[in-house]
Amino acid sequence: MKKALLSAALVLALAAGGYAVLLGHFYGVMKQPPVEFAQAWADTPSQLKRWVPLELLLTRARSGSLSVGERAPDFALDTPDKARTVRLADFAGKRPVVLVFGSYT
Amino acid sequence: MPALNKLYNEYRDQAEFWMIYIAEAHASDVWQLGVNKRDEVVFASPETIEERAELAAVCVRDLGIEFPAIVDDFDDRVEQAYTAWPDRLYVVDVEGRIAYKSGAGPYGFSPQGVEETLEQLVGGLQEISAVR
Repeated sequence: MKKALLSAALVLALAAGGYAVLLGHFYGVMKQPPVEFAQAWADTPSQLKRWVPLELLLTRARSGSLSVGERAPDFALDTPDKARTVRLADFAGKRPVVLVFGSYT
Repeated sequence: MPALNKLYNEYRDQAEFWMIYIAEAHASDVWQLGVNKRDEVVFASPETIEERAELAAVCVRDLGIEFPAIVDDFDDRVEQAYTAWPDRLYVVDVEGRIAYKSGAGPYGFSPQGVEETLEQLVGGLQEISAVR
């Protein structure tokens, strides 16, 4: 009886440990550029994916370092047709700027 | 995106709107989503900045985004500076400071937060000019 309890506890501990490693793994790749996470996700069997709390992990791992009130990092990027280079600092003192980050998929 | 188009059309005279096209999260060679496959949104990761710019143009056109777009550098430096993937919204005020930062998308993607911030910022501007 005692032996059965012990082995049950051992199995539970191993499962919990494995789960923690899995979550830690995804948390780590979510900190990286999107391809890293995409690759890790693609390599994960679907039975395991069901156990990954994506929203919680993504919200935490992608919380970022910028906060409200901080200076927005400047950038200069081209339009897709390269007709114009847009610098964030050019709008300072003029108008607020809405930045919509995204991709197709 | 319809909600953002609507905001753009309401506020375009008072604020800048820019879509920043960042690295694809679900390119076909790494992570194909069933939903994208159904919509026939399937393509490989771009290998040059030119390819990324082409993809950006397709994205803006097919998603019906009405405001202008710019393309992140191939080293993803702006995405990294803003912790932007998978998607995220910011409002930068007239002084160049962050006035609003959404949570990480898709869960935290909130056009409503942008609208509330714009109301405050632009409303504030109007008050100042009224005093003058």
